[in-house]
Amino acid sequence: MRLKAPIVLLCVLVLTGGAWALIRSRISATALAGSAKDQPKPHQAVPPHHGTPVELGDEQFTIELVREPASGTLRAYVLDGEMEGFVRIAARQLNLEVETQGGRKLLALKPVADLATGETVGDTSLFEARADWLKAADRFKGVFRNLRIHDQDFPAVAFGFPEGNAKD
Amino acid sequence: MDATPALLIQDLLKSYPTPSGGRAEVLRLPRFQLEAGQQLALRGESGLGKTTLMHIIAGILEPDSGLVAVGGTQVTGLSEARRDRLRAERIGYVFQTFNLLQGLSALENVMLGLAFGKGAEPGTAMAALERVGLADRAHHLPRQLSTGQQQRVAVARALANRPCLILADEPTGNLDAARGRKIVELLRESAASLGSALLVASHDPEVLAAFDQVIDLAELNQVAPREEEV
Amino acid sequence: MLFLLIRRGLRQHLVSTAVAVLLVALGMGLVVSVWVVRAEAEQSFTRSASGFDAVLGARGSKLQLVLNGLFHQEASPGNITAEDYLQVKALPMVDRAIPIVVGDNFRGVRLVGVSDDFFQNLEYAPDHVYTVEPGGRPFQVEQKEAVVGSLAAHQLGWSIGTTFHPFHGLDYNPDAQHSEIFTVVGLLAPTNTPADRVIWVPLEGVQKLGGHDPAAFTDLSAVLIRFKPGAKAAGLMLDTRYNRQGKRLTLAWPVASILGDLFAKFSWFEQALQALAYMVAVVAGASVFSSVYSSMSARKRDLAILRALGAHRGFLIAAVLGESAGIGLLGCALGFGLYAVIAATVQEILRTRIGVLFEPWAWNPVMVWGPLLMLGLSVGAGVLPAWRAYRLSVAEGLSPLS
Repeated sequence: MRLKAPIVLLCVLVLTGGAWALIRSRISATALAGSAKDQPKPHQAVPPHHGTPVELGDEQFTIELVREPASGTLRAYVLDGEMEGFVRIAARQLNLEVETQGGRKLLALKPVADLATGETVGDTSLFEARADWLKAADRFKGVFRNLRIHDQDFPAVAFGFPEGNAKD
Repeated sequence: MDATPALLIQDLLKSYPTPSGGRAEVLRLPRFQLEAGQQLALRGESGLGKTTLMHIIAGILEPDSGLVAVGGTQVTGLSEARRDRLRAERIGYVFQTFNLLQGLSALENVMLGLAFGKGAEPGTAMAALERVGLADRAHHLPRQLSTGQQQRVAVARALANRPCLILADEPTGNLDAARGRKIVELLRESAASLGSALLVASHDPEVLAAFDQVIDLAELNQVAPREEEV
Repeated sequence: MLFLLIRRGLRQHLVSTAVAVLLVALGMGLVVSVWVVRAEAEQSFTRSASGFDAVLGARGSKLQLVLNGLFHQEASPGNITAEDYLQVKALPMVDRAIPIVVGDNFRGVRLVGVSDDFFQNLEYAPDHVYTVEPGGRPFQVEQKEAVVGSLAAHQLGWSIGTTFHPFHGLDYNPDAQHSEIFTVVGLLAPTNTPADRVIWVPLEGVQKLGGHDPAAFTDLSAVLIRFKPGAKAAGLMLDTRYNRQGKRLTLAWPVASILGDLFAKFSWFEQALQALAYMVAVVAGASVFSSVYSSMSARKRDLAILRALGAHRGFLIAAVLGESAGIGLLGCALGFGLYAVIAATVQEILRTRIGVLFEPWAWNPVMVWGPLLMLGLSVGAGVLPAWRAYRLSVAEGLSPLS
């Protein structure tokens, strides 16, 4: 008898305080969740295929290079300056001069049509070239020559592979 | 007989605040004593302080000053919790208007008389009901009992903890003469069988006539009776 | 004695106690329902993605693709070609690619044309494959045969051997009946997924129905895709290829995130329901206060008697708070009953309308904090009445009633 009353009193304090804390925390959690959803996502300039970005001009466009060692394929994706969207161009080929340990090479990356994306030759963002030496060429210096994208000319764009040519 | 008095009062003073801001004395008792097992009726008209005195003895109210001791234990000066416990263990109180809890059965009402002292024991409570002849009504609710039976349950409740002092404040106030006599008889017999002292406060001549010893509150109280303020 | 007094006290003022208990139950039931239904509905939708990781379809809304391809709701945003299907099927990271065609129904129950490899060890959940109940068989390609989902069969009252004319369109139009007759050859064993709600027929069975454009005989509504285990980057690669690089098709991936966006669209509604639930909870607390307060006021004399019999003030507080806690506990128990009713209703609706299995008793923290909240509010509502009981003057309370 004498212990029950204090125990009940203690339970009261705990329960009442707990109830109030719960209400406050649920209201806060709902408000936070709402505000979190409203926050704009931070801008992420990451190449979509996690390849090597080569900036053209003052970030007007980017070419993302992806090497596939097994097949000796080098793919070039033409992207916008922020690497968010793919830019389709009518170029017949992309000319790339490469300096490797084995000397200077020339690569002509050809346009690729893809049923999945709806791209065709003459309206595509994907160019690729294949060469045996590419299978072992994990580091090289390159220069894109005479690029023309949407009426903008880029006579020579130098870069290193795999680091790219980002200024910052 | 136990030499320790069942009740001892010395230099008791009780006053209440007045609307005008002062204090009005209600009780001033130099000395009053009840021996163990003694049975005494306290005569006094309504409004003269009988209930106040009973409440002070029971530890429900605190006097302004003075000493009250029950069964050798001082009531005055104790903390409220200790007074509550003392009342539960040593005193049996029979109120004027039965004061049974309407939602509890007769047995459960009697168990209340034990609950705050040594603990509610259904067996002890049932024995108390048997003593007042109501064992067969143990599970009846108060509204299912007659007024006389309700008062007998109240008596059983007061006796359940075998108190050393039984207080009864106008115990026949709500009863007719015949039932009133029976209740007084029951109180006296029960108190005698338990060896408890009995103090009954009443203005009813029939009640007073049942006691060998009657004392007038006016003789004890040095405060002159005054008009009741309505 | 304390618990006896609490029980009797609650019973003595039965009507106000009952009202307070009902309101607490309503508050509890609403709080638990709002939280669990929201969370579990989203989980059950995600679980019911039937074992597929992505849906490939015509350019359009990813959500529409998921709802159309996996939940058999909505129309498809357009058609894709057989070549699209063959190309994605050949991708090294793709484990299974199942083409589907929709566009017909029977009295509102959708017909879904599918390739026969649908019944070849295709898992809809770990260790669970689509199978036909004993006594039936999968349909034969290029035959007008059907395998009926368990819910659809129950709804239509069909069994093996039943024949039917499909109707053109996704919605039932009695004037659009096809002349072809199909025969039910099997009943799909229950899967607790939307697959139970439709009638499965061969691809060509839908493509070549009378009145359909012959030029579109090889067109598909969508391709359901499952990636190979361990192909972690598969979804991301194909997402980039179809959705960012491409402009023709849309790959709906990841399904869980797309469904999450669906539920997020209704977050405003969810918040409104939560606010309502909180308000009901507060009203319930007020009701408990009212019940206990008026009960204590009416039983002032009883409290004085208890004090006169030796009960200390703490006992009275405990008795009062015990009554409010008792109301809270009873309300919480009843509240779970109310939740059970709400949950059973939601479960039945989701099962019959969408084919999604909703598990109302899946663990959710609200099952603990919901009752605690209501209990806390109930007990808190008893604080003021308890304070009054604490301050009770015994002498005044015992005064004879005039």
